[in-house]
Amino acid sequence: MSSTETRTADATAARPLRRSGRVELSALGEPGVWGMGGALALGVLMVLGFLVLILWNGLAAFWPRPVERLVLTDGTVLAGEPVRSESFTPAPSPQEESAPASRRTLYRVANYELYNEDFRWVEAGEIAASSRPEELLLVERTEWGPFIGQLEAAQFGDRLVPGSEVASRELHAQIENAQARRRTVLELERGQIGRINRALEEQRLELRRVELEHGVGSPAAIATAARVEQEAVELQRRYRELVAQAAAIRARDEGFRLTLTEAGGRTTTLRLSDIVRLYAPNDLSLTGRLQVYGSRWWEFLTSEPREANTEGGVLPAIFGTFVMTVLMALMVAPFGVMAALFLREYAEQGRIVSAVRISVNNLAGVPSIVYGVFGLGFFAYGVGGALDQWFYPERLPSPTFGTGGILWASLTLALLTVPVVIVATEEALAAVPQSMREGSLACGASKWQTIRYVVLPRALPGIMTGLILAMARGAGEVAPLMLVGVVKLAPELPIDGVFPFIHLERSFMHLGFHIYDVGFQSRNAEAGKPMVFVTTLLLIGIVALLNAVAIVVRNRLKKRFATGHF
Amino acid sequence: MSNAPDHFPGTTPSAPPRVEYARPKRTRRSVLLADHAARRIIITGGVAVIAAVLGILVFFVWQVVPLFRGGALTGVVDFTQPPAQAPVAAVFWDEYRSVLVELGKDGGAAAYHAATGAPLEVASLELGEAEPRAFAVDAQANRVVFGLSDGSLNAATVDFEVAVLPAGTQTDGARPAGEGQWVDATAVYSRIAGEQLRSVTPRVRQDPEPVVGAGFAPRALALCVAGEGPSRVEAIAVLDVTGGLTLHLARARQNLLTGRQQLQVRSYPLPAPPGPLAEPRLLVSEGGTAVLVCGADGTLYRYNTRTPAQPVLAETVRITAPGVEVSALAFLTGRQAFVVGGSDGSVNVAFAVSQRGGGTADGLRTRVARELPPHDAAVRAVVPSTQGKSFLTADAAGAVWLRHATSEKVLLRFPRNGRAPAAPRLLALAPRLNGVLLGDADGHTQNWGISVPHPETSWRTLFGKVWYEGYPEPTFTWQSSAGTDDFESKLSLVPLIFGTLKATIYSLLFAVPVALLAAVFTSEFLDKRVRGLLKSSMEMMASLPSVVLGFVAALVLAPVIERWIGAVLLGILAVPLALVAGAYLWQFLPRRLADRHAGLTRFGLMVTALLAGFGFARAFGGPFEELFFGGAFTRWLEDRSQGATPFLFFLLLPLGLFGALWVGARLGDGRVRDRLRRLSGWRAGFLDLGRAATTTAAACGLAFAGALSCQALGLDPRDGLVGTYVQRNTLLVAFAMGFAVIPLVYTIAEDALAAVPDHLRGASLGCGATQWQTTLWVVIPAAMSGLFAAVMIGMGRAVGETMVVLMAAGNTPIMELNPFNGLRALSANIAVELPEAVVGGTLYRTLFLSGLVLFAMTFVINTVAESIRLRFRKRFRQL
Repeated sequence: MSSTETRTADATAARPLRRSGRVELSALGEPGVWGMGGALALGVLMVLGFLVLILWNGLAAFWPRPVERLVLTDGTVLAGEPVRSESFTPAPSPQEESAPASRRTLYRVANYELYNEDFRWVEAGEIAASSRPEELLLVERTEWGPFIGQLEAAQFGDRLVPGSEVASRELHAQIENAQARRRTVLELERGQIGRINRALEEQRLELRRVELEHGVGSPAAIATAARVEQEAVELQRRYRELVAQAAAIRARDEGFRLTLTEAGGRTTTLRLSDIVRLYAPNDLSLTGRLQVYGSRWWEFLTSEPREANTEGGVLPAIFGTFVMTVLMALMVAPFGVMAALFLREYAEQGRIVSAVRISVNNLAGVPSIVYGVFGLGFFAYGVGGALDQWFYPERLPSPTFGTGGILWASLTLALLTVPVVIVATEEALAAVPQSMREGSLACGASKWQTIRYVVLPRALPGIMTGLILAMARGAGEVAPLMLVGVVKLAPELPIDGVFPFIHLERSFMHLGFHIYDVGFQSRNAEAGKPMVFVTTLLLIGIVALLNAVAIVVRNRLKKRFATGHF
Repeated sequence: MSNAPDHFPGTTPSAPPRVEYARPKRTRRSVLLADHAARRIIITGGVAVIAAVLGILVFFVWQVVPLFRGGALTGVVDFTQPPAQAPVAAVFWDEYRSVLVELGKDGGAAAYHAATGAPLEVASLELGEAEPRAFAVDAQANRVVFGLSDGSLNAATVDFEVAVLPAGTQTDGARPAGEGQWVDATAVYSRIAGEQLRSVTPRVRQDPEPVVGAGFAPRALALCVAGEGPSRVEAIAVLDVTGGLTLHLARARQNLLTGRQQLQVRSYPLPAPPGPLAEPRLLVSEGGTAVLVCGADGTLYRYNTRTPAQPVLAETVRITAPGVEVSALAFLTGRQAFVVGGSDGSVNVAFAVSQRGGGTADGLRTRVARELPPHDAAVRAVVPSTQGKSFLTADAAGAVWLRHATSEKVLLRFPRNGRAPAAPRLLALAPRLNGVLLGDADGHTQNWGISVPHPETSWRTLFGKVWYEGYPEPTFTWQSSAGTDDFESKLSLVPLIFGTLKATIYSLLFAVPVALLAAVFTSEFLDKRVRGLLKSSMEMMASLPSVVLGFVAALVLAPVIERWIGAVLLGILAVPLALVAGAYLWQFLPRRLADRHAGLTRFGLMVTALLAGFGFARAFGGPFEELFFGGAFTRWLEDRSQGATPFLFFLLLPLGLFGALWVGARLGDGRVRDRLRRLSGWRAGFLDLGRAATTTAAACGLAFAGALSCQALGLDPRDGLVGTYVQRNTLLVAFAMGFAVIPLVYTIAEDALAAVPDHLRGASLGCGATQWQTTLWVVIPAAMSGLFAAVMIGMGRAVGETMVVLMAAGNTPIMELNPFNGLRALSANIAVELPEAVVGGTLYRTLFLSGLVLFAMTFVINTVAESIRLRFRKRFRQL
């Protein structure tokens, strides 16, 4: 609103200048203005630089790059993906004062089980020859990271095919079959055997519950023990069957192998069922590249992590973030709105209410880690510990609710964001003109009817904006979650097909914590970096999306209730 | 509202007859009910939410308060023992506080139930013909050694055999003794959770052979058992009647032929203490690395026996005030620090600290580091706990106090009403620090239950300097855990608060100028076509999750900054200079042209100038380092042989600039300005550029002169201001935190500036002031309190930021101003340590306290900001 006036004022300021033609240069304050402009430019460049950095690294992370085969001056042969190169000054040797700067390149040489390293720096001076042979294959595996090498031979069941005669189509078909077998084994082990294990655990707990209730050695306990024993026998039998089934498939898998030679000449045999993806990086058309790129993104978004979270997908983290944020919103929305309604519509405005208002305002600025400490001490250890004592004594001493979990995490975040929602709602309520309330009351509506049909609809844009911004904040928050239930690898999702379907006591994975964990705690920070960038891109995308939704909602709802604002 | 067809008999008669209302005139019950219910629910819910949010504070206080409580007596049982014949040499207590074993100075043993005094069978020591002369105890290992008149040393171990049995399986002879306990002839049975029974059977096992066969009769002994299994070493120091001092080191060796464990003893003679010794007391440290001999007069001889074959009498020192005798002496756990009880009631803690040029043979010096609250009468006994640094002291008047060596607190004073004014005959501290046994000479025994959950904390240990064991001087230290059990935990919050403030101040130094200047530019000078876009892009930065900032800072920026540190330092100088240079060049433009392009073109040129500054810094960073820091800045920081002048020059540049401006104003700057006013166009620009160049040159000259004189005075910034370079440092934190703080401050400041009423601007411009003058003298002063509030809110954010400092600050709890070193902030410390802290333990509560400190800091900062903001609003209502 002030901008147009400022511009006209600008014009009036300029007129006397032109008339006299004499104005002291220091009155224009150009250096000062340039300093300010520079500060703004710096801020904008920081934002842009950051976004470009994340976008570039995040989008490029999955792009298949060519693999180079290098012959070094000392005769070593190696093959790897060039990751980045930089100029560096070698450490000064005692003979010469300072060595001349030189370039070096980081190669992802893979084959961790053979080299004991994933990455290797190669100085420009070391390279004798470099080429990009088309027959080099890059194999992504379920374990040990990728493998780079040449196909020597393939064994498909009882058929042994030399490397040069393996048809790419057949190879990929066989890999797909092997992957299907791996999924079957996984289903057997995680799904069915997991179910049996759960049943056994249930029985143990039931026995313990009866023992706690009636005492050890009481008739009820003995009866239960006998029944449990009987059922366990059946379960054990089924367990053995399933294990045998899985072992049979595994044995069949042994017959499908690839023999590969790495650049240095050593050979390795890989089971087809361990292969996630296989392609010839130097022999890829653009569509082929796009296919690999797309399949990597698909894997990232829809599968579980592997290799200590540095490979694979982040589905559990996406799911955990989503469930936690939704739970938080479910808790924070009614209570935040209620508190704001109380403060604005029901409480008598006075010193106490304004003091409360200031404190609530301040609580929005209290560090999130403080809420985390509170969540851990009060929710997890206090409330959760009490719940365990009352409802799950048979599981003690292993805690059920008495430790971090998704319920406590979302409660903590709800507490963290409730001041934000209260402040936003209050502001929205304050913006509804008093005359509208009075009009409604004068028409005979009750106070609640006035609030329900007149005040709340008009305040809705503000409330929704506040709520969505709170969700954005909650989705991006990590520090308090580290204390109340986020883990690096959650074996089970908080919502699944096992009764009672929603497991609020379970710990969960979170995108933000995933970044922290992979970036800082993993075996090889370099190997995890692409993963961290992609996860960062995803997280920023989600937060930005929520913010954008907030803006759109605000604008659309504002249009609907365009009157009555001042 | 729908109309209900109900007839309301009460209302119709009074209604005017002519008007037929289709609607009832009474509110429907459902509406009333809904209104009532909504009112109830909203008020209850609202109050509950607000109470819950405010209840956080209450919960924190509730968690923290136990830290400052001393101890509590939880109960006492009294019983009377038959008076023993011999004075007591040692008392052993099992960890469940159920059985006591008493060894007399004659080697006689007695065991009894700790709650009732019911006797238990236990074997006495077989000491043979010779007479026991001296004894020593290691309470941690439950081991005792007796020195006999024939010079032999006999050792024994007291064991408490613990077994868990099903309920009801105690022997038939067991009779109930107190709540849930039974005693038979040999064991005590207690009921425990899960319908089970625990039996504790005391055993005294004497070694089959003496540790040392024969020699001179001992006057004093000391014993220390350290290590487990094959690395177990028993050190025994002996002062014999001839004045000779010997150190015996016994190691358990497996006999290869028989497979039996045997003690292999090596004896090392030590030089005899030079002076006469009355009532000598001996202490020996773990593994026999040091032997202390203390006479009653307070003279302490410390032998360094790290290589026992070449023992050194390292120092002779007085450890009591003149005229005060040593009346009790004992090692605390860890056997580094010892407690000295004086005949005047003083209780002091002393230990050897390393001291450069201390004048001792091994560079260590024994210092009385802490003086604890004294007793009224001579201290008769000191009983250290086997867990932590707590200990009991008893004085000659019968007072018994439980204290803690680090916090210097008196945790408990035991009521001794009606008892003889003498030190108790029996004094024992339960291994888990949950009980104290006091026995008088007449056999009356009290078994106190005590609770001292947090003996090691006090206001002083949390916020003050403490002289920790082995440290050369009192320090603020945070070190919550270490590998060993007898570690003295150092829980000073000061380094963490310092770290938080350091991170905050350095990041505000970067963020506040950028944010405020950018806000002023946006609100006063920026073309409105891009204002919305730039503003929302800056605001977008505010929604970046801080974990992302931390990750980018620590993994992407840290190596870059380390590599380009020269360019970064140069950039701090070059970027503002480039902008100023741009401004002076802009002044060459004819006024009309300049006015026409004052909008986007100028901003574009500003961006260009900024980029040029970056480019310049990047290109000349290396040569700059070469020229000023002799090659590499990081090496310069470590290498004191290179001069400090270049760095001092940089530090003094701002001062030099102020100086130059001040001198310029005195020396005819007015005349130049007069000329400037008369000139026009590029001539004025040229003159102004010259003026600026002169000022800059003068500033450089002044700064250089200042640097030289500082150097001459021996001032070196590496003495405290800068120092070691680590990759994850404060500079990085400041930059990364900028991403979080700048948008926040920027948005609030911009709002405050936009709220300045336009009639103020109009009036100023109408009076002939330029845009710049209006901004500087009208808009900014009017918005001042709003800008200040913005800075305060930014500060609140920086104080509480966790992920950025956790990931980018290195987390070393040091207290240095050096921006190239790391720090550990309160918030990051909580994130690192709380998941591992034992619930309800001292560390746990201390972390809650640091959360409370953080809470209080941000609450105060935000309240100040809020009240300033309210005043600001009120002011504008008046304008």
